[in-house]
Amino acid sequence: MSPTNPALSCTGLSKTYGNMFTKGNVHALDKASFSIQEGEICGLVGPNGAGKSTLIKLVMGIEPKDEGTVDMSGLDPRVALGYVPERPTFFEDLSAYYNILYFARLTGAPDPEGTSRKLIDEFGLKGRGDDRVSSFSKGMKQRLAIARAVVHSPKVLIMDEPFSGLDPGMMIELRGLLKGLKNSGMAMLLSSHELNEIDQLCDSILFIKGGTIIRREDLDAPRPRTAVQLTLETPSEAVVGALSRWSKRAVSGDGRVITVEASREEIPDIVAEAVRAGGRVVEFRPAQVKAEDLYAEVFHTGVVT
Amino acid sequence: MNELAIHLRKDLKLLTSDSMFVIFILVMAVTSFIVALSTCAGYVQQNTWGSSVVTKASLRALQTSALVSYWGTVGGLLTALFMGASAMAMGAEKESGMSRYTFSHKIRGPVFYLSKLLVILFMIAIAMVTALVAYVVVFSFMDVPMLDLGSLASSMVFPFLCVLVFASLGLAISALGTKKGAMVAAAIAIFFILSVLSPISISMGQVAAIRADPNLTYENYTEALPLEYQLLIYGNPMVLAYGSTYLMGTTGTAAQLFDLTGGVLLAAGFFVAFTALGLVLFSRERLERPWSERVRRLLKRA
Repeated sequence: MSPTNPALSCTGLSKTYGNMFTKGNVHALDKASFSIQEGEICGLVGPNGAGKSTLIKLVMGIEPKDEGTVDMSGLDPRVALGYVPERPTFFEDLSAYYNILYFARLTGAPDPEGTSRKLIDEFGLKGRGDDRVSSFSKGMKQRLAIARAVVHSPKVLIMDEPFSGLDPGMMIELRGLLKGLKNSGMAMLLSSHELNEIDQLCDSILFIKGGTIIRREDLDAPRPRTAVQLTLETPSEAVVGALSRWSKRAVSGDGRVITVEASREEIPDIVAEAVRAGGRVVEFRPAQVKAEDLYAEVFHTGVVT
Repeated sequence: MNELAIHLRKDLKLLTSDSMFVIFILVMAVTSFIVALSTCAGYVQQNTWGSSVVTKASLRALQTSALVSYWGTVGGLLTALFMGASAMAMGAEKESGMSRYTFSHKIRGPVFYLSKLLVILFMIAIAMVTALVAYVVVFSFMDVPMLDLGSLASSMVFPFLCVLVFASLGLAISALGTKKGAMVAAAIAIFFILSVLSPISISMGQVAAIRADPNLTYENYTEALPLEYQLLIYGNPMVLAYGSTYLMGTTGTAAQLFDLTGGVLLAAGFFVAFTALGLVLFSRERLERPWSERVRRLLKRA
């Protein structure tokens, strides 16, 4: 990932809904700026009505923007972007193959027939390519939607709630597909309420609220202080007391799991201190930065430990 | 493959994969045969109860009149049918959101629109040929000399133009909104209003012209037709429905509202105007800022 080579760069994107006949204008997006590097998966997270879909529509050009720029290293966004809408639609009476072929031809993909057949196989639709889309399950349609979106090998894939309504098995399958695309160097912007999927897939998260991007979190970035989690065989007040010099984040309901914030160098001291206080440590690991925790932190909602 | 060909192939595939397509062709064929049989029956009756002197010329005149009457009925049905069907042309893709998704790729709106228009033209051609075949088959069983190919072709000119113009109006209506049902209802309402207005405005125009110049008669009233009535008459595409009677010479001595060239130009004018209207309405579907917005911004800057 090269920080100097963003696959997608958006600056000052703004959108206001309403006109001279409406009483009040709604600022759906206010000067949103961000960039995504090649091979990066960036999650777009925020409560309902935060402006996620508006941001995606503006990037895709589906809605005209009031201000701002979308840059794809000078490429036309409609050529350099692939798009999976929240509720993908198809030519239901046509085959899956033809649905891809039409867009392969439109986007000028090389060997459209061959590319379409290849994608049908790669996206787990082998043997169903000539069936009408109307006979497909939701999961199959979702895979078809992604296959269709990447038919022209876009630089960035934009997805609006791709996991919505999928069963766990399909989610795992889809996650595998997206990881495969990431490995090929494709950048992705993924709007989702599925924080577990964001955790497992994303390299970074954009938090959006009230039309403003309020925080960007790079999940892989090294942190000066991190949360560490200590699991004891039995709960011990003495251990909790002994660890009081580190800022305590949480103690689990049964008192066995203690989470404290510390620097990497302090980790041996924490373990030693816990043992000295009579604790029998059964597991010790740095707590992962969870999208859910970050969400709670950013949007000030309660965390259940 | 160019963009038009890509859209066209898709639209034809969508059309032929729809079971309604076969039903539509069957309904058209059956309707044409029924109307042809009914016209033929009228023709036989006129021969039986008409003048006792039967000549080749009188048979030809009767058959020409029957042909015009046939196209009057079939043309009217096809016009209504195609206006309704065209009003649905964009509906399926707009309703499902497919047209919006398609526009998230680098495509040109007018080409997308033109593809639909060409498919409709293809359908009209099938309908007209089916109707002609029905007429020829039914009248071939009559023991009378068949009208020549030129007469058969001439009789189709204005029905074809009329269907084409109303289909282009239907397509423009389909670009107006996203609800298929609502667009068809709007098309039916507009068709009904135009159908009713046309004969009324012609009759009122005749009266107004003769009142303005009492020396005129119904044979030459068009010379003094007041401007407002000219606009009402020639601004209504339904006037094209009279074209066949003028072209085939079955109007008798009544004044003609237009000749062949005038009629074709009028139809071309309507077609271009409705297609332009459709393109403007459809431009709202584009992902880029619509032209109206661009103009407004330019004016603001100026």
